[in-house]
Amino acid sequence: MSFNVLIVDDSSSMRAVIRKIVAISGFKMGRCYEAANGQEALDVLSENWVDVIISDINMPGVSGLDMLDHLKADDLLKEIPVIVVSTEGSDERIRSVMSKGAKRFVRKPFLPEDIRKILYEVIGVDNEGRYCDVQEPPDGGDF
Amino acid sequence: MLDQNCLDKKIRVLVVDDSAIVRKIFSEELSRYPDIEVVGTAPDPFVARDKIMRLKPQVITLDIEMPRMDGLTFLKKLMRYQPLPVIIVSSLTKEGGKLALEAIESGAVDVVSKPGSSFTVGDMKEQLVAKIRAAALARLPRPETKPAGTPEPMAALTCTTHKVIAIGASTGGTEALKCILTKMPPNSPGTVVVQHMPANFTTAFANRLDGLCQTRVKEAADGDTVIPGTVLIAPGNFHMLLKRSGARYYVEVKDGPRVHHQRPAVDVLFKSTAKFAGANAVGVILTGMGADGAEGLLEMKRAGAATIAQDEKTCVVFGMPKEAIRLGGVDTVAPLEQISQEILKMVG
Amino acid sequence: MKADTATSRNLLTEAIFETFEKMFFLFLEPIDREPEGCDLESVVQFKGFVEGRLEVSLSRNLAVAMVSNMLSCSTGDVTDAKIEDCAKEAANVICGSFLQRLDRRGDFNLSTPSFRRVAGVNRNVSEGEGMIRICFDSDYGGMDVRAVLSENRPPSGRGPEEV
Repeated sequence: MSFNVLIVDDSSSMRAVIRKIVAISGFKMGRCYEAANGQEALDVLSENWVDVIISDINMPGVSGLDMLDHLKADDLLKEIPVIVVSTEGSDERIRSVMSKGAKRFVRKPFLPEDIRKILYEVIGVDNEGRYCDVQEPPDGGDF
Repeated sequence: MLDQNCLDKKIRVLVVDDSAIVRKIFSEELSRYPDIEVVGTAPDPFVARDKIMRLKPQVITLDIEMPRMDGLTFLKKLMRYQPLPVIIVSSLTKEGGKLALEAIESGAVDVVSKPGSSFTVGDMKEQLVAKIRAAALARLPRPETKPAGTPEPMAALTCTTHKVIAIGASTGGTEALKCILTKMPPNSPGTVVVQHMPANFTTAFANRLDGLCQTRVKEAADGDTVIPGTVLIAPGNFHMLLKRSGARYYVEVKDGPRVHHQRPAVDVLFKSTAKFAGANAVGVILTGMGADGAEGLLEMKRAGAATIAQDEKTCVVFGMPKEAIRLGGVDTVAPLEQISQEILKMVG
Repeated sequence: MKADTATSRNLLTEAIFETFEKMFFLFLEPIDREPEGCDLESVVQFKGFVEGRLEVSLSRNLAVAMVSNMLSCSTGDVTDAKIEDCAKEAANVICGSFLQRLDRRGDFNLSTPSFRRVAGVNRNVSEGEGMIRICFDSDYGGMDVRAVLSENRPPSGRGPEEV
């Protein structure tokens, strides 16, 4: 099992480092899509099956907050958990981001183990990235 | 998608269910059929997605009531990003019925109920296989967001108490019925419907339609009168027959052997309608696999009724209408969007 | 509530260490002298509970190492555009992390970072009221960081260290 991630940040370096940190964290990443702003993110989402979004807030054009509004208005996209990463982060700011529907707020920079834990948490799987903690009989599992 | 039409190939099925036991039973039981191959199973949506990409199944069975996963959301995403025929496996509970209905509105082609007290694994297996075969042939409409159904205004009807509309449908029928019935004016002739559906789903289905239609829609109970402005849906697991007492039409809802492996069966309704309503009836056969309804529609036509079949292009599965046309029981073949108009023309 | 210069200095150092370890996978060593060749300069302005700006000057070698670590690419694939993007992000993240440490509850806005190449500048700046300067060395090259702070006052023209 793997999870498709969308990374939204106007800095290509920041997208690359987020991608790298997620990759080395041990998170089971399937496809990794990138977008430089909210509009590009929505374009990616219209074509691709994404399980979790990691997004910056301050971006030119459609900002992270605008994107959250768009996601909320879409019956299908509203289910996708969004983790906001930002350099700015007063409690007030965090509250406003969360009230827009973001699942978590993470300050840059962050550690691989932190982001893995948060990714699994918002997706709703356990720490190993498994959906069910129910014991599977050895012959009844996947084949 | 091409190999769906190759009859020499097995139908590739992926079973998505969080219960290991269900996955095991489905795999074992379905694999007994020479034309079906369970290519994989998945306990959750993420594994399911991986396997869909990798194994390219043609049909998916999906349990939408899983405690740990939102099957409905998975279905919606699947229909958006990777449309495939999906058969919903659901419990016989009221909640399950509602959920299954929403699933069908979200693009699932059919629903089969989990084995319950009156419904054995054997019954289910038979239905499931039939539905998988139908689903493998299903034509998936591109998921398009249609403007929420404000039905076109229909000319008001004159007195129609003596007219009866009888409709039969299977795979793809719930959406087809929704399309037709929401367009019918509030004083439409009394309407009787058989939709192949497990018991209890028909309740949820009738309730759902009732909220959408200008007419009243209810799951039929034995003895219900067929009156203008009311649509009666045959309850799952029972046959429904049209009867007449003096000037009054009513339905008989009863047990009985399955016809074409179905209960309710369209033929049972249509044949009784031919007998008791004759030329006062309009018969409509809609999308679905198999031949149920074809003979009944021919009897209706012979009794003087006007008959309509849904055309191939708008059918999810062009089975029952095709058979009805072949037998010669169809007056008019029409695309789905025009059927309500055709009906009203015939009763007008 | 304004932290004294020594406290602010420590907080800025922590922010820099954290950013370099977590984002660039590099370890820095604070030094007392001015490092050489720190020609790549990115600046972030901030407004809020405290106002001012953060200036980060990097040597090219260190910037190349940062880019190649950040993007997992070989040093040969490092372009000027990547260096600029990376240097701006470094200033942005250090600044956010530093202000966060100054006051957890404080609200602030960061400007879009600017970037320029300044050859052979002699930064004759010393620390004082509202001015922090920390220099670093690493296996790859040096870095010179300056923070100019004024507490919630409109900035009075340009900083004293500007040439």
